[in-house]
Amino acid sequence: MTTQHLIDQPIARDPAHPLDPPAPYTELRENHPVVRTRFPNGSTGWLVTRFEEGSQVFSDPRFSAKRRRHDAPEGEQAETGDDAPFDAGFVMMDEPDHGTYRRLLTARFTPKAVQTRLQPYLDRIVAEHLDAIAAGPETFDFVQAMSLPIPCLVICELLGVPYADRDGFHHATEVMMDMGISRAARDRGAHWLVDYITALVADKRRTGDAEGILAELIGKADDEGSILTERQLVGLGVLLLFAGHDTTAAMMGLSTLTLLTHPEQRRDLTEHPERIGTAVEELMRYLTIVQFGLGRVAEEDLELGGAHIGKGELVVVAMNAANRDPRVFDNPDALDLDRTMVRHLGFGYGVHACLGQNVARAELRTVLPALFQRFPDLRLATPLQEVPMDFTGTNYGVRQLMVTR
Amino acid sequence: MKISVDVDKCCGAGQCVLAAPDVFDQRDEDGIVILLDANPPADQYDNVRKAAAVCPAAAIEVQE
Ligand code: HEM
Ligand code: SF4
Repeated sequence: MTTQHLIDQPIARDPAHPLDPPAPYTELRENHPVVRTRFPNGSTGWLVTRFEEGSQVFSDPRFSAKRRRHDAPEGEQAETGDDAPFDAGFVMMDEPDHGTYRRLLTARFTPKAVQTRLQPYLDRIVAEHLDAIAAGPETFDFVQAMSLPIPCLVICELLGVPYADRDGFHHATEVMMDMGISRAARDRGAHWLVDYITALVADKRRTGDAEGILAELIGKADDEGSILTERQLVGLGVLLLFAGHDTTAAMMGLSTLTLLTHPEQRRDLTEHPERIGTAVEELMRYLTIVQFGLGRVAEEDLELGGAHIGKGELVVVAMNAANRDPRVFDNPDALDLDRTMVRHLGFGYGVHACLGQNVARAELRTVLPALFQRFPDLRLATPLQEVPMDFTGTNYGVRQLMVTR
Repeated sequence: MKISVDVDKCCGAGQCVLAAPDVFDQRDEDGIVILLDANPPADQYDNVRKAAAVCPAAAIEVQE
């Protein structure tokens, strides 16, 4: 019976198949789609590996986003509340508060706003970085050359951060996301960012600099009767960096690795760059970089996929398993860049679905075709099995990707 | 076909606008969905069904 089965997280990936979710997920999805699980920090809850049930967890209001962390190492518990390094804001709120705060930001993230306000800047920095690659050594690390700087610059542009400060940003976000290092070290990274953004906000107040989201938020915070506190304002800035940098970087590196190891599909795509929109959705589905799933808490006793979930229990959706669910996707373990689909769970689902999804799409749709058009002979400089993968981060990705142009 | 949108659920992702630009738009100030046409012509039905299916907030209801 489903409820008697107990599995331990994290489940290791098979290093021989670095682009696939852990193999045991296949069996779980068929036989124990909602299964009792012990998480790395020792707490217990449930793991969901099917698409429909996973979508339900994200969209059913009986599940709350006010959750404990499940993917932190042994002994670590919540990171919310006043002792957390920053206010994680609406990520951990439910309706109606969540929507009230999220709507302070949405205007900059619609497809139209991304196309008109961000795309020209994006085209420019991608061209500059490709030029720099062409002028540099033939063999280079794609992560350092593209995956890290482009998403970082994009967020700097969105927030209104001066370019001279971006190196510090890289470092602090990387440290904050690495589950392989201690909580204290991660907190130091977060504190650096909080201090930095606090200072930047003060600077913008003083100089009246109107560039970017931070300046817009200052305007909103200063309105009479505003709900936005100073701590929350700074928290939203940190959140955008935290949510948009490492994720997009991971996806860019892993997508490039995937295209390099699927030469025929890559050639088709390079010849038909107009198919990039469809290809990016398939890469999002196939790679689903959120490595240990996302949690919600049951607000009442309820039934999900045949399991009886108790009030207050943590339910984690393994989106990487759900996005390979054969009930929804034909031949789910095959990469098919021409695959058409209704939706996937790579950006989550429901009211918390990724705020930055149109920004992330724009970055991937710009970088990937441009890279292979500019360097059609781009190839791995090391065997696939020697590419160092990040098995511990919140997001799965390549730590380094040595390629030859 | 009759369409209704729940603006309280809408999370502003804009996937509906990409799927059916003649039927949906978004408010400039906060990205919340605007229903341009609650009874669209038949040549829009496919796009509208796609929009409702892709909406991450399940904020679009379609009655056929
Ligand atoms: C490929 C890159 C990205 C991936 C895979 C990704 C994935 C996700 C996922 C799965 C969620 C849902 C979290 C949940 O339900 O608990 C989310 C939320 C979020 N993402 Fe992204 N994201 C990416 C890029 C970005 C970018 C570029 C930004 C901003 C510049 C961003 C900002 C956010 C924010 C603010 C949230 C919280 C939304 C809420 O709770 O309402 N993301 N992201
Ligand atoms: S797709 Fe759904 S959530 Fe996104 S703007 Fe349209 S109605 Fe709102």
